[in-house]
Amino acid sequence: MPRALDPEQLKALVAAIEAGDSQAEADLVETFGRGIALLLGRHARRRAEAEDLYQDTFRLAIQKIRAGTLHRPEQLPGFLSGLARNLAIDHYRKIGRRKTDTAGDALPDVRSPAPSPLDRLEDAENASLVRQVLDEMPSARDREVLMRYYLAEQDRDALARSLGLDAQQLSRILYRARQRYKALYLARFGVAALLLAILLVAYRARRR
Amino acid sequence: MDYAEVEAQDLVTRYDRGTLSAEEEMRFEAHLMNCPETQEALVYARSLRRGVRALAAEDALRASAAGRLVRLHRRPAVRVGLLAALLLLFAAPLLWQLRTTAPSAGTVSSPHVVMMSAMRSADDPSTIVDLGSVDGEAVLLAIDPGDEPGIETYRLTLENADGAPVFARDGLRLNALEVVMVRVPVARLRTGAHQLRVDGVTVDGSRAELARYPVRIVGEAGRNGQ
Repeated sequence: MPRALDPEQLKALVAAIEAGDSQAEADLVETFGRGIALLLGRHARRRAEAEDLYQDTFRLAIQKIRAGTLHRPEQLPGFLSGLARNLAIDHYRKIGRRKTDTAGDALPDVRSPAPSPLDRLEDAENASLVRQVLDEMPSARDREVLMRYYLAEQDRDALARSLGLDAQQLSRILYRARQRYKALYLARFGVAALLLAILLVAYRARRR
Repeated sequence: MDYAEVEAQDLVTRYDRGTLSAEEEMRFEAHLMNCPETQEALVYARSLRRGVRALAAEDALRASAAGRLVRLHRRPAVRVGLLAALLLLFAAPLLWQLRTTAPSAGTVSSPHVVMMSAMRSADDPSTIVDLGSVDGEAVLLAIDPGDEPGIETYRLTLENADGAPVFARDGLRLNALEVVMVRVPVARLRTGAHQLRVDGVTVDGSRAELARYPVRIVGEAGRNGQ
């Protein structure tokens, strides 16, 4: 697993980019690409949009760092996440404005896209793993916990209260389920699959 | 923020669900950039959540298809069709290939699942079904039917405000998630207040009402362009 950068390393990275070191720019993308891809996975509605926003984030970040506008290098992670987030917000605001301009009082299109073949395949694989996790769970109550937590998205505290569990018992059930899921995931797809999943967006964006 | 705080406050799941406050979300995202453990946890949380939803959708589609078969097989003319369907099973690998390259309606991916449970917010006891956010042609209802013993199957009836049934399904069973899943075509739904009635059917065929869930249908179907 990659390691987090400490404040000194962050300062050195920013200083190198300010000095025009192209290797440092590549290191920036290498180090923070996964985090940006995951963040955009939350804010972008389509894979293609996430890929574009990913590229825009690093392009703009490098421009700003080169220009010396990042005064506190130790805040580089927050600077990058804020940039990506704001770009995503701006992107959808523009789409909303365009739709409003062309369709009177129509609201912006906020739907998710139809699932791609890749999404379908991933969902089928994920479902198969979850079925295995459920089959191995020792009690109906544990299965109910998983269902209510992930399907009904019920709040932890309310869920624990309704099932007569304390917070620790609930955490243990969820922890066991997650660990088992992780083990099955790795057993089925191999360790490389995890890195691939994290880096998918990053790889695609860099390839283009 | 560190990973211990992320774990203790369940921030990964809350972020993935979109239930953090704006300030919490910004703090979490700044942390996410430089924490490989949190990144890994987020990957698994997303995968697990999608897996649970996809599994629920698969079960609902299977139950729906089984219900149709039970009704159809009573007609002699349909038996020939069923034989043909069995033959088609041998072509399943080919169909799978087609399925992965040609998206179609009624897929199991990214289902719009609505959970019906006795646990509702005190502010709004109704379950909200927003047609505007449905991507496919159907809404999947996941119903927690309670712990009544001796129940063999369930019947679900969605009634409008006048008490008239707008959708009903018999012969449903608990799935691996301990819920009853049913696929309701969007075309059958209209906005307004409804009640979902859950009946339990015992082995001897007797039927009793187990629960009623208030449902409020809002939004406009088809806004998503499907």
